[in-house]
Amino acid sequence: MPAADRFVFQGCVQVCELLPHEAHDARELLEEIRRVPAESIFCHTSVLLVHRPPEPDAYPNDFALWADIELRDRRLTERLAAVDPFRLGSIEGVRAELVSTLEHHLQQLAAAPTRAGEPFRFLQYHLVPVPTGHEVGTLREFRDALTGVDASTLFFHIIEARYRLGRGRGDFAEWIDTALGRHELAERLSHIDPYAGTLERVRERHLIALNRALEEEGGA
Amino acid sequence: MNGMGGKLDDYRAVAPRGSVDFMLRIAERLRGRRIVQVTVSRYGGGAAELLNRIVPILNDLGIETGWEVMLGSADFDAIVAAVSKGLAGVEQVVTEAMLARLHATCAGNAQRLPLDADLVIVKRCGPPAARGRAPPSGRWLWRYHADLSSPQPQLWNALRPYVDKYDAAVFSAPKFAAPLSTRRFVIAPSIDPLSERNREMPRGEQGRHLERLGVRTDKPILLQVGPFERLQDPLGVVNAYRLVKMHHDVRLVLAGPPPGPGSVFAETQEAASQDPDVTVLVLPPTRRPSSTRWSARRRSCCRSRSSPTSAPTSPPPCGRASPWSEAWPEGSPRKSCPGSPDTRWRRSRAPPSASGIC
Repeated sequence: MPAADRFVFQGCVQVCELLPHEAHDARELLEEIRRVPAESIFCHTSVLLVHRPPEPDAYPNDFALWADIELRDRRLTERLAAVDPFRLGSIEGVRAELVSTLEHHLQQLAAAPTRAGEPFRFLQYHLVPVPTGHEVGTLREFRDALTGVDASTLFFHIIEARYRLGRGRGDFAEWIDTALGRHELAERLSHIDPYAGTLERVRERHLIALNRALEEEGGA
Repeated sequence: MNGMGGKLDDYRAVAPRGSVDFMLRIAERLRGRRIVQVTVSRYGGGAAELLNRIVPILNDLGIETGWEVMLGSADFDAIVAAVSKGLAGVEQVVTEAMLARLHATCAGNAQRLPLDADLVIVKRCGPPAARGRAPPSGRWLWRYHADLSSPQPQLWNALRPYVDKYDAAVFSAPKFAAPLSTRRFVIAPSIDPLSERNREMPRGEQGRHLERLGVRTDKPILLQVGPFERLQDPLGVVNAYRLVKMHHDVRLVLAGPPPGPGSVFAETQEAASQDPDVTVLVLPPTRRPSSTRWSARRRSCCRSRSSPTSAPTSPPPCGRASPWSEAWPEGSPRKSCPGSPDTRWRRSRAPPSASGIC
């Protein structure tokens, strides 16, 4: 296989920067969400997957968590928690959904929005890709490498590539489709929702699909 | 892997899958760079404890890392302690003369220490002034672990211009950060999972320690270990315990070293006095003779550029502030019953010869 067609696994290092943006209530949250860089929206809705606690009922994004803990607004919490990057497909899509959710919520408020005990502090992650040293040319090699790489590798190739860098269905599915010609498997991988559960769960679901494909082609 | 990372390999048993190999890859990219860590103390405190492990590991990975400790006169420790408390929001008297002394010491150290590196990481409150005098090579980070969200205003106004000269400030949590004109980053605090303090303790060993301390094990235990000082907020812990107690029948154990001046030990005892399920324990002090600390400083700590791997890999001879790992096995922790402070113990600050006195 030509070197250009081989898959190079890359992990990433995340550096978290605190931005000079804060929100003390839902109205300020709306204003700041409109204003902050896309990387900040990405940080609060996606990068937390790298550090996600193991609790299965954890809120899927930082905005929902803050609305619950600091505003104690159950209704807003539920609405913000329902914003789904997997369905929306891009960070700007996520921002638009957050804005429309907050606008709708504020229109329905009879009184002034509740002030938070602690403000929402906006962060921005800087991601630095680092090659893991794994370079593969076959599906079996791909499966073996995926078993042992750092979890940030999954984040980089599935979430960062797909939602922030705009690389189609994510690097895994794209490579399996274009370099290996496994259209059906690529399609199956692209339908795994990376936001449902932890990155280890995402790895598990990829490995299940890959093992099944390898069994079908004649023994794992 | 290339003969490197022998010590990092020790963490494979506790690290997430693939992460140690990934760190080796990151290290490859940083090989040849030089980092200098600057602290105000070699012994005691979480930062020093972690540096004792991290510095040798980074050097093993090929990232030349030095650890420099600031030298100061006899009153330097007291000034740093007062400034630390003031930055944490505890009312302190920090005079102009003290600040001038602090700045002079920091500036002197900036001239004396070998700080030419790709990255200089200055920790804690003492060194803000260092950036102003040091050669402008490399990047400078100010690392502050504690809560800087509500510092004493005048004190912060005096120190902030020096912090703003750094390339960036690094805090442990977003809510701990103070407003600055320089860039601010967040790195969560870490612990060493392989240190004695954090090791898994078998049930049998737990039981022996608790029995010696006189802590009953008939209920789940909420535990805080730390100095009886306002910063550690033991009274807040008692209040939190009371909230928990409404739903769960638990015990609260507050354990810490002998209280010093300005502690909230008496208030803690008072708050605990009405509840038999709250136990306040005074543990023996960690052994840290002041002379040893001073001599360590006088050695200027650690390593020269010509011997990058000579950083200490063994625990410091005295002074890891770890009441559980050091004081428990060797000393005799003292149980202080509510309303009966052990004043003799506090005066002498010497380990008791017998176990638990109420």
